[in-house]
Amino acid sequence: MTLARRLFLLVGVIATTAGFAVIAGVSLGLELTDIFLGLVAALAALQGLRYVQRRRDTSMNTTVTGDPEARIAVPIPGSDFDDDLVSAAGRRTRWAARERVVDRLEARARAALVARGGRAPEEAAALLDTGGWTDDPVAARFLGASVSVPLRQRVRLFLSGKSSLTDRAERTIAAIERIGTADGPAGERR
Amino acid sequence: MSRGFDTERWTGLDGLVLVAAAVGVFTREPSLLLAAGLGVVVLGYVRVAAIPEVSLRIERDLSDATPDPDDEVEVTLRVTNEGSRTLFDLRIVDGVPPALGVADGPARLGTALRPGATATATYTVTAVRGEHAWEGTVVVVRDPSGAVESRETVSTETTLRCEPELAATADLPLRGLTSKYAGRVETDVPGSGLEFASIREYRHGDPIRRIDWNRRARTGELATVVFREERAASVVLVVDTRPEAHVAPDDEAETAVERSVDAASVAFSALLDSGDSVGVAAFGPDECWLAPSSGADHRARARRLFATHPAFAPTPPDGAFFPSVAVRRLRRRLASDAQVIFCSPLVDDYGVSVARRLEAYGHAVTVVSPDPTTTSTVGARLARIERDLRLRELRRSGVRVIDWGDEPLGVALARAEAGWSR
Repeated sequence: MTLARRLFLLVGVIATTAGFAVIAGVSLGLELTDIFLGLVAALAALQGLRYVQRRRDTSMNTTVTGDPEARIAVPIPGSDFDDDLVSAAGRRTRWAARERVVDRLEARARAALVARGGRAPEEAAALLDTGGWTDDPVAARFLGASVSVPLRQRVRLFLSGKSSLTDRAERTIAAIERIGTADGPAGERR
Repeated sequence: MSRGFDTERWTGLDGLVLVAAAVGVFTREPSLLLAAGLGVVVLGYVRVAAIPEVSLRIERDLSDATPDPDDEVEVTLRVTNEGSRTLFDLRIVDGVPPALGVADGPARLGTALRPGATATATYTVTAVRGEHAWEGTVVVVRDPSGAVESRETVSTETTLRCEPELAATADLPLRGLTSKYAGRVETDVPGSGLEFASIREYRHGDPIRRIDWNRRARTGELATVVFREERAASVVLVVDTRPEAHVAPDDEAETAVERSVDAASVAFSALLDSGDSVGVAAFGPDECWLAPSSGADHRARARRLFATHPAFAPTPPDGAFFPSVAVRRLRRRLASDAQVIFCSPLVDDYGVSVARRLEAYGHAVTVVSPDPTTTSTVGARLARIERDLRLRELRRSGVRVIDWGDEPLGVALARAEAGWSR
């Protein structure tokens, strides 16, 4: 116990004893006047509010148990990419994550053009540069081609709220899925 | 255990008491002062609140300790208060093994317990392959006011062992999987066999049947005919158990490792039945190696291994893993003519490189790949594309790949075999 606390304790004990004494009728030169009572009440209210304030800063300290009924959760394949998309929206991690997302999609698009579209590697790179690998201008632009998205489509995208990175990544993935199938332009060669 | 720890549940009541008293004085309202006095009593109680000595006996019973996969096992948890004081607020959460899911009823109990009284909680778990040990039961005791709390873990040893029979599905077209190489293969090692290899000088102990009598008649020397030795193919089932392989399409579904081990155990039995010598290896942080062999003992050993070896556990391993060291070690162990069946979900590029490297070292590799991908998220759709590209890459480099989706393994094998024979 520190010296200050001991002092406060002493003052408290003396005040309490004096209070009981006053109530019992012993005159200590203090009268229970309105001003005196008001002073005590104000002190009490101040201290009380301080305690209440302290409560707001402390959280309940209680045992939290896990969920033993559930099986152990393992990630679903591709959750790392979803995490990247989330951190691409974050302030500090934005650029690095964005780059990872675009790089990964570009590598997969190239691999898909070679493996599913039957293109030569150089041809695939050229297609990605020109955007000719897909008929979706959003996807083509996302992977670095200088294709202009028509103004009307752009306005529509903006209004529908589907212009976020996630939406564009999704459209790109859909475009990669179409590679080598009948409805993609890259599949016409097969 | 006496005092436990403070829950901070009543912190701030002292402030309210003071404020109530102050307002009571200001407004000359006796009832407020009385309420403050009540608060002081509660504060005094909270100050001295304590938890009695907790002495509990916890017993756990399983309706079946060695069930078959997918069986429902009823677990009965019996808690007896062996202390001398009543426990007013007792909460118990059982440590269900992480690989088991509770099918019915919560694995917990909240009750007050008099000395000597017993409370029971019952729940049902669904059995999956493996040896599952229950973890410690968490016991939380609070005093009636909730001001103090104590938490401790009581361990009661219970183990559920689920060892599926290694019965090969009758219509499993595994011959197609290995027919190109399986059965009896001739080697360049001289010994007993059918095909003539060479003649060498007679050594003491050579069987009389193999002495070349014509030469004996011609020259008077004893010589022994040597044939090319025949040997059954040895197949090693390698299961990808790396942390990366522990993926599943959703929380309820089997993980890719569980499906890989299922595929391996089915293939093991089928190959053993067709006379090959079969071995098992895990490619992951936990080491596991069962050298190729055959026979009933070997089958029993493998069955136990698939069920209880920590490498094949459905929970992700946490040890450090050095894949290139593991590939080298695996290569050293594989006989030069051993074939490999590699069970991997192929959700990353390393699985592909393992298969290609083993193929490059001269082992005939077949990849059985359970498909854990889904289309629920953007990343999942990308993962599906990536996996598809990996399968194509493997097929292009001459590795046989069986893409095993939701259908039974036999169907996937039949489809793959049809593709190969075309």
